[in-house]
Amino acid sequence: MKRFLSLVCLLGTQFLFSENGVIWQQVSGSWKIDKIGEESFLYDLRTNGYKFNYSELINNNSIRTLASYKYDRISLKLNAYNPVSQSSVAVFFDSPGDYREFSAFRFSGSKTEITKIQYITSRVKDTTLPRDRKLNFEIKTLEEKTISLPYSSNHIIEISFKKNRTVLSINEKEIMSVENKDRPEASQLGIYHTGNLLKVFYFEVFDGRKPVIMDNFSTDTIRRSTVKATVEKKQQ
Amino acid sequence: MKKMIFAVSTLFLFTACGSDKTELSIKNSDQSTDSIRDIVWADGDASWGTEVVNENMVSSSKEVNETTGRIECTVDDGTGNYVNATVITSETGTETASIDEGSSNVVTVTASN
Repeated sequence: MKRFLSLVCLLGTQFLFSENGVIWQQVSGSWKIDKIGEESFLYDLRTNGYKFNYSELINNNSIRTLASYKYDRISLKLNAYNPVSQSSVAVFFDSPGDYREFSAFRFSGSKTEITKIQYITSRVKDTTLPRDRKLNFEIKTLEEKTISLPYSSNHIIEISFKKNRTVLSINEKEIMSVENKDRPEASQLGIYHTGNLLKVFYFEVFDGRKPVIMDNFSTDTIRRSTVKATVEKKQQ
Repeated sequence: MKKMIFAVSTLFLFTACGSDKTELSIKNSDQSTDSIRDIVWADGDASWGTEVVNENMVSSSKEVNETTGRIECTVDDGTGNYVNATVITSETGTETASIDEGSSNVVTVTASN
């Protein structure tokens, strides 16, 4: 009986673990999922976005978790390819509600390679203004480092939060460690890009040892705000 | 005299051809839950910029060159944040809409969170 219960518990855990609980909100771009062989991935059809200027997220092609999570580690595998003259990819976090509030590691580059990593923050400039006010946000670069990373290669990005510091590792090598004192207790997170095409193979988030997001993009859980259109009348 | 008549006829012909403009305006349905803004037609062939189209209202009419394309706009996602909305046309079930060349076209959109 005990063995049977253990088996049931184990199967239940497996089911919960493999079930994709995260829902993503498409902020800008045209995000889809696909599969090559056994490996599924998230990708965006868009290279550039429109500068609608409500937030950095809408100005780029971005996707963000719909719910807030408490977390201390983010791990993802991505591949940026087909860059145009100016290209960037960012992993953002500590974004509690308002799209204009977040911290991020932003990778930017030329047409040939990724050349720079910046630790940036986005903040609302005037909180008394309504949300539809354009350009009411400010991006600040707090730290910057030059690097050389190729496009069209898979890179494993890991961001961990420990003792008031945020540490970025790429392909298991520590690249940057920055001070980050005032983290929100729980927040949304996601990715954005512009000037290139992007594939993301998995996106995992942990709180200690506990996995809070384990998405390998085998199922489409992207919430897209849709508008239905009808060509209503045609007058000569 | 013949030359003059020919020239005047040609001028009339050009004027007549020039009046066959393809125009597009966007109506925000009374079934919408929100206003729409930042409308873009066919990857920037026409753009309504900062014009906000409230529920049951029609945007200004713009001359367009493309007769097939996507309509994009921004909407409030229900949390006060603005997102770039995917516009699906009911005729095709895709993001691509077709309008008539040389006509005044009105596309009705329904935005819902």
